[in-house]
Amino acid sequence: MPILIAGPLLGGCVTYQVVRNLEGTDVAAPGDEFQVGKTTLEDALALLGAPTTVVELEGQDLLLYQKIVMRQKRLSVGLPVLDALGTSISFSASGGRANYDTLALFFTPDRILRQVVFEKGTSQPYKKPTSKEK
Amino acid sequence: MSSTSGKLIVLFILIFLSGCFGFGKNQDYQPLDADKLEKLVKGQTTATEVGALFGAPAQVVKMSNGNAYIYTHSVAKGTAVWLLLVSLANYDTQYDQIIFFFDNNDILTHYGASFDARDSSYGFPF
Repeated sequence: MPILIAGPLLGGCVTYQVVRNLEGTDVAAPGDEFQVGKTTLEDALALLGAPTTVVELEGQDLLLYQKIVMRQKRLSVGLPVLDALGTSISFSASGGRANYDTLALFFTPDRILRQVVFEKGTSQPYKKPTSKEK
Repeated sequence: MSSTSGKLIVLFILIFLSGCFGFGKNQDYQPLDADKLEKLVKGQTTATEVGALFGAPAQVVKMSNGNAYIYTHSVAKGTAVWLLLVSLANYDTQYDQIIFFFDNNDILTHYGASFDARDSSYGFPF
């Protein structure tokens, strides 16, 4: 019963927001078909389709395949009843985290694969700290 | 289940699950026609011809041995639910994208295409 009474009274005063923003399709880990010195740009495009973006980097061509998952959470608590007195108390806390799955393929000017870098960031849990304290 | 419990459950649902539901859809750039790719010949088609077929690219990038024209079309779908104490929102953005690679003479050498915009979906953030 108390929760049924508290609910309407707290409505608008306590809010918890959960937002997820997903951008791009899954990026798979590179398999044996990607071999440095052998795989060509044409092979990569045939296997993976269009990259998210391309850029020239110090004489190399970089193809970047990327998926982004961003999560945000926000808790707000306020006592608007005090607005009538000309003041109010409010508290809010929020956090967000963007995780990236990234496959970076570096090609020589001759369009031959020179380097492969892959990271699966979306497998990281939302609450996992990004650094460890010693 | 007693009559009182039933009423409490109904009251609980009315109070805590009352709210609003909304969804929306956004599109950026024109849809890309995959059938037009069949008209291209690597080693022959020029950048001008690609422009005539697909229009102006969204982006042009200087590469180590030529240029890349990027054509893109995105579809974003958003879902939001506002309950009494909790609000949930989910956004899903997917892309159709074609990237054409040209050599220094503006001749098409390679292209890559992905058509995922139709996979954009409504959903919840869990």
